[in-house]
Amino acid sequence: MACQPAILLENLTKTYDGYPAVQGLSLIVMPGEIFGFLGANGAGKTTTMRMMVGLLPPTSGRVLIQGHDVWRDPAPAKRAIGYVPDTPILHELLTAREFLWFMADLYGMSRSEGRARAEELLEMMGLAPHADRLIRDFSLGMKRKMAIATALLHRPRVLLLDEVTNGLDARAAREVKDLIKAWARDGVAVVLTTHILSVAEELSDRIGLIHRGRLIAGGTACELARKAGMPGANLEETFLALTGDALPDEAGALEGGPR
Amino acid sequence: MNGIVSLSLAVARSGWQAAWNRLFRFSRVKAGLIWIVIQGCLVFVFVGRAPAVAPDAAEAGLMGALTLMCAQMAWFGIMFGFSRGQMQLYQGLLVPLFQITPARPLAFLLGRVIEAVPVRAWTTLLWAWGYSAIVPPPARWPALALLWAAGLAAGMLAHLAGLLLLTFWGRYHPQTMRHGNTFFGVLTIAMVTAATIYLSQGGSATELAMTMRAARPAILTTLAAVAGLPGLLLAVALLVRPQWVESHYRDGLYRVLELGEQDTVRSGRSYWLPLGDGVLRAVLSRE
Repeated sequence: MACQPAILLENLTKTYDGYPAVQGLSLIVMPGEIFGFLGANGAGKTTTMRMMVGLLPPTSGRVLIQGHDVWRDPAPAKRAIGYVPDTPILHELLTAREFLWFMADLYGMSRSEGRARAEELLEMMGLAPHADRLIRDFSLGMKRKMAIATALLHRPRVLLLDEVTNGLDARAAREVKDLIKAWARDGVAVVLTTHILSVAEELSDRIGLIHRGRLIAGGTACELARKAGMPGANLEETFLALTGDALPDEAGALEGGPR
Repeated sequence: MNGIVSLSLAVARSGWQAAWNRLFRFSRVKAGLIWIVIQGCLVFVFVGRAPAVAPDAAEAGLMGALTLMCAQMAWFGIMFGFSRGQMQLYQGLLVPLFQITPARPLAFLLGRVIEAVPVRAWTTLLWAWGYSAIVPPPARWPALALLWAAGLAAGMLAHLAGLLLLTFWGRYHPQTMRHGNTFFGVLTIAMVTAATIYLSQGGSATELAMTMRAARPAILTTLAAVAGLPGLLLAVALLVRPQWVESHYRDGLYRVLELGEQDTVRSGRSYWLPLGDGVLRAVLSRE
């Protein structure tokens, strides 16, 4: 079971009216691994995430989560996924507590389990004092914490985090980064996209660079620097070098790539 | 099926909680209370006016009032099912929540229908109270109950008919689905305008009910064809072949969302002339 990939993307492609947003993207992420997904604005990171989570049907290719196809066998796949989108998806006219209870219903949790888990997460995210306030009145940071709490509600084995530290203050961002490391130690597979390269460098076991819808390079930060022909360069320099002059021949490098 | 029902109730409950929070619990001016009072006042005025304007009210009778009630509630229902259904089931806040969870789309659709029941029951009660004034006093209160039950049934069936129309429209021609809203919007404005002109020229609900009674077979046939049968079809399909409804809704939803995504990917292009420079632009920008 441990050898089964937590996430397997096979030749994932998305086109809009012939415009390719994501092209033949293949990727494997194992349980307990943190995979950083980097790319410039419009590179295709969020589109890929949306296909992985079931929000956007791919034009072709497959997304397997713990062996279940997100689009053909969605229920078990979605039970395994926790998703924090770049813009939190929240029912803003509910209170924090009511929203978590509602989400527990959507995940098919029992009433007692859902309520206990909601209290636990409100406490963990520091939202317990605000549990009976409308989410509409929350700050962006608090909404982000709510989105994280929602993603963790059903104890997922795969976490997809899109710009998860955006809007968080330094302390909260540190706490979230520590949590991500802890989840990975527990065997949760984490895919995170971020514009903050230091976050990716600090957390990720492997990093993939997406450019114009193609995965152009992958590996550890050191491996990426070597691929860019800049050994010893930091991730920012590597990122700029690789995305400024993309290496199309490395597309698909991550499938079965260095572990 | 049991899981679907409990999930549908959870969806409905979240809608009720949101409305309660917005209109009462977290509303400083208690907007919900004000809204109820305004509705009550309007119907009270209407009740007082209907028999007075048409002293021959009794001639319209229960059948006239029933026909009027069913026609109106069917119209409200079909419009609500289509227009609000489009907002809730294809664009609303809960759509992505449903997509990312293992919850079945059918529960989402059913939940929205259940959610609409209390408000529909209340609105129908107000109108039933109003139209019952057409019926002479001894029979007024039983008439109110009958008008309420008939209006509620017509409204519910029409709501389902609106959803059926929406589901098929989204599935087979999603690119024109928005035009349905324009169609219903224009038709509603036309009907409200016609009603306002009619009432301002001395017309009354009683006279309208009398007209309705005279044309009863044609009106009821139209209602049955437009709202009754399609609504019944969806109700039966939900009971007998829920997967059929669910697959149509899910396929349509993804087609609509796909079109939405394409709209955001396409570069924005305005078909309006740009504002000129100088004084005009300065004035307009300040506005």
